[in-house]
Amino acid sequence: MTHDELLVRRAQRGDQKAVDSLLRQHYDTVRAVCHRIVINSDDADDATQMALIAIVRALPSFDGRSKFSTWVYRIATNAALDEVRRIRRRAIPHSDETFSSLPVNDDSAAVDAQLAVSAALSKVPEEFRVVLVLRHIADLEYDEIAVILDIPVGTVRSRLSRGRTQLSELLGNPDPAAERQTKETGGPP
Amino acid sequence: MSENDDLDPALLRHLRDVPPASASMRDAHISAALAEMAPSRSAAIRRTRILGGVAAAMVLTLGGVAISRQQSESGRRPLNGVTTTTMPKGGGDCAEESSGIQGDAADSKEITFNGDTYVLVFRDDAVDVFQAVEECLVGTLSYRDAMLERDKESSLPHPTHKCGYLTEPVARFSDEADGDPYNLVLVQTDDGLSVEFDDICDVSIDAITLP
Repeated sequence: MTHDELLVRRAQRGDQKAVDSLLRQHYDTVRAVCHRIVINSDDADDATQMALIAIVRALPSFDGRSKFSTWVYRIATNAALDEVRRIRRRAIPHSDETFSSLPVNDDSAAVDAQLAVSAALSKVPEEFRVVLVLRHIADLEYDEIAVILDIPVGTVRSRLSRGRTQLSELLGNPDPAAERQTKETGGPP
Repeated sequence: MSENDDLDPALLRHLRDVPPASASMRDAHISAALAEMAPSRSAAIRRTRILGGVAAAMVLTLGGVAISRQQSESGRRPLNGVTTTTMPKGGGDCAEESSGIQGDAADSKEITFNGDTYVLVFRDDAVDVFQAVEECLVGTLSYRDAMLERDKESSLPHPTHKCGYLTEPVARFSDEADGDPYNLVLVQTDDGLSVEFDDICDVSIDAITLP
């Protein structure tokens, strides 16, 4: 039994220190998933809180069939999507502003870049955005994402591809995959 | 990554670069989540009802019953460092920080002592004893140090050697520190509970007095 498995077992037996340790271990990624799906910072923090509570409540039902981290990110994703649905009922002013391109090799513009990415992500359809986040922030494999979202692996692949293309276009950056495909097929540069 | 992941490295970096939460926010989030581990009183009542079937077999009716233990309490040989926790008669006030039964039904048992009902919560290295009604933590029976001591002394457990008891132990369970698992028992004393190794007879590791 690995250290993590032992920690989960202890947490399931009501060991508060073990639960605390597990929550701290996964906190940053849970929060990042919520922030990138929900976008708005305050709402994302609400989603993070709800995700952590849901994890604690559901802990006794974790059966070990998936990795614990996958199980945690599934709960975080659902909490974030619940928050998105709640936000959707609120009036959100639509902005047609164009997004600044990502600065290259300019660390001083990191904050601007973060804002640009957040703004662009908010324009990417939710089903693409969620797959992007689970793949590139939670580092999940395609089959794990498929299980979490209850969709075929092929759908994960296509949503990821389209999401990446849209995100790159919104940020004014060429999508490497699309660009390479264009070159390979002899299309216009 | 096993799949082809073409994403501009700068974009990937900024995508992952979520501003960190402050320490206070992180602690607040985690504390609020941990608070979910303390069930409501109604939940605790439901839990103890679920345990009813099991508990019925485990109920001790110590009050008014002449306990004919082979050895008197004074004859018990405590290990080094044994402490006995005594709670005030009548239970007293339930301190906020010690209230709320924490644990899972699968690791809990209900007993009756002097007409009062208690819930035993078995966790790693210890057994917490709660008053069932007020949900106050009465005390904790700890045995980790005793296990570590045996690990250190290579006093290996004897899985087939079990002590005899005139009164069946309240509970039998096993746990481990850093080595092999040990069989342990919770036995009733004249005024409370004691935890012992099942292969070292009549030696109390830790004991508490119940109100």
